[in-house]
Amino acid sequence: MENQLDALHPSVTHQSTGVSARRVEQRLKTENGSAPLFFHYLSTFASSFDQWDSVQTVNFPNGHGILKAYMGLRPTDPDTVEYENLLKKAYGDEKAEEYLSRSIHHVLIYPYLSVQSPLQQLRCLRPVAPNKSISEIWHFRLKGAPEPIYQRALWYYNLVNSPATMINADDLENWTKGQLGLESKGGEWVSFHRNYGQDTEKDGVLYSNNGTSEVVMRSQFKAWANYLTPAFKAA
Amino acid sequence: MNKTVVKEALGEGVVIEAIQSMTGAESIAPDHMGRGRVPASGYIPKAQKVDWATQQEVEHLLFTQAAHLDAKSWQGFIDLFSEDGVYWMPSNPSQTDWSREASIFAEDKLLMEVRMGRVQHPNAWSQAAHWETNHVVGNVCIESITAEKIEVFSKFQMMELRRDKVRHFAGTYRHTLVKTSTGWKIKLQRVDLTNAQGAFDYVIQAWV
Repeated sequence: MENQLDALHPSVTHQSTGVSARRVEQRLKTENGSAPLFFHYLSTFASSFDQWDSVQTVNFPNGHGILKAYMGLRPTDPDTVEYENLLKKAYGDEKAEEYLSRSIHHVLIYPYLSVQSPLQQLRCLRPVAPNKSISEIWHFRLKGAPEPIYQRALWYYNLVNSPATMINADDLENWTKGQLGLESKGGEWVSFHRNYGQDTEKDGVLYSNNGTSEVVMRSQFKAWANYLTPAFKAA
Repeated sequence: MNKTVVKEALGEGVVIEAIQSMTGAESIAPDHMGRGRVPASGYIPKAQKVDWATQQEVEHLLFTQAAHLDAKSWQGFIDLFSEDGVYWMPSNPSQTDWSREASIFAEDKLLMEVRMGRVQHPNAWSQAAHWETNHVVGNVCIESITAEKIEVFSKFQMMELRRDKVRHFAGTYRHTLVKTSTGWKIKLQRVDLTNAQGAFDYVIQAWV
């Protein structure tokens, strides 16, 4: 769950895939003038730290949060324009604009659900044991939306979320190593101090001023501690 | 119930006069929990008689492909595909369209190049762990053959060792081979994994 809103890890964890995809994407752009959008899904993972710092996280009470958009998924190609026109027809200009202008990459409903609305993905983490979780991911077809909009969701699913994913492969490996470290007699503490005290709080909501601030983890573990404290007291 | 009553009750025997069913279980009406007989499912290959040299050439291609995978010879693997070649592992055997349904793998040569570049990158963290595979391909059955195209069915078993964990994958390959200026190339490799619907402890990192 920490991973879903964390803007620091992608360019480190997913460097190999991002760099490899960017190489092919750039060659296609040179040769053909354009490359399929799904290369961009992969290559943006290897953006620089400065770029990631410009993406904001919004952290609500109880661990919920939002990572704002960064993939530029509101292009002006004919498919997107057609989709936007259909939305306006269905809901009126004002509502359609409200839906479309929501700048979201991930919405996290703590502690188990992650919604990626621009690409119609839903992820659910089911805890099985302290060292084991099941990760289930769905992608959706929007009723009445043009076929290419579904294709976009499908290709994100195939490349990023399938059981042969080139992205989650490295997340899983790093989580496994993290788990092994925590099970060992090494350090007892995990530090989440990055940009501590540098986030903006307004009405109980924490807005990061640096996308890579670990306010995400601080907010989530605060919620987790609140959930656990009554149980410990009762015991 | 006191002891006297029990004694009296034991004295009242029951006589089963006729067999109403073959077994006790069959006397219970079938329930509706989906345990009824299911029709045969799965793909049965339609073997064609071909000459031994052709059979051998096709088998050699499949065995070579497996060897490339076990040797982590990724470029060698990719070169076996035609320019428009596709490697497809559907998530369900009923799927028919590689580009329009959720798949485990759906890769043309460009995406294969991305995957190869990824696993060869020094900072591909998942590749740091010791990792080997061993493929066996068999039951090779040529289903159709023309001067330009061959359809071939085969079965595979793959053992994977990663760190100290062994995983077992198996399934069906269906290769569509096309004649090119440099010999037979794979236009489509469909991989129906028997464990496609299983929960995976770890992702599949390279083609199976």
